[in-house]
Amino acid sequence: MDTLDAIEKLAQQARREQTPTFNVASRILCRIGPQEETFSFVGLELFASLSAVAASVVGYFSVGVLRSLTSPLMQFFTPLQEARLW
Amino acid sequence: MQNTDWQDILACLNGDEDSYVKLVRRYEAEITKLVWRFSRDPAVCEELVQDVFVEAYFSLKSYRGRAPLLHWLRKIAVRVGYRYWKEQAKTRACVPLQEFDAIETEEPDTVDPAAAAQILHALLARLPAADRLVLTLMYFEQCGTKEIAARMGWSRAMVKMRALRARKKLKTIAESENLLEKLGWIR
Repeated sequence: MDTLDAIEKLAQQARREQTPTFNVASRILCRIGPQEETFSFVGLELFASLSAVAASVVGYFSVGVLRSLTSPLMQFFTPLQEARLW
Repeated sequence: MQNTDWQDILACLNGDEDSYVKLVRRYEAEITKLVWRFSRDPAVCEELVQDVFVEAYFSLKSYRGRAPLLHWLRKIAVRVGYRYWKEQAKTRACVPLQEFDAIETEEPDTVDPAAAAQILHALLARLPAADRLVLTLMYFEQCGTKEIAARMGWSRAMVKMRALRARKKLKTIAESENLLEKLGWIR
């Protein structure tokens, strides 16, 4: 018997195999049901919370630094007073 | 297409999830039978069957009803299975054929179908994913080149060429594993 014939015979037998049965309907419902809601609300809320925390941290440090300056705009020009520009 | 299918699809598109449950229950056995060819691990197979129906649910708007729903679901199932094989390609461990010595039998027609399927699955697992897909659909599902091409969106010439090369590779693998001796089919 040729090898490919043997494989064909195996395939003939294999096609008669009883395959297992699953009841997937309930799990599919879980996967397709609440997914849309959680994505829209939880995602948005999480993003908003992170943005608020980041803004608070940046605000806290920036106010402190701003108060330490006597004249905020002058600090940009002070180093340039000693240098000759032209 | 069955009229009941179309009614359930329309109801489902209008937000009636119970109609989709009806569709799932109607076709889950057929889809499981096909997906079983991609993984013989019951847990993985069940997960893949779920993936097929979830993917079908979110693509339901694109279903035009030109072919029966089962054909459309099978197309998705083949693609889900193929994707699974490609993901598993790097970590896939081949099952040595020595483990199947116990099924030795003189008559090919008396081989246990599950054992035959397991051997064939193990042999095909040694092929690259695309070759494996073509031969899996040919041997297990009795698909022709035209149907395989349609399911995968490949050209028919490409499927023919791949089938020819895949058979040669499979023959070499089977001979190197002494398949005929192991099965006791040498005459």
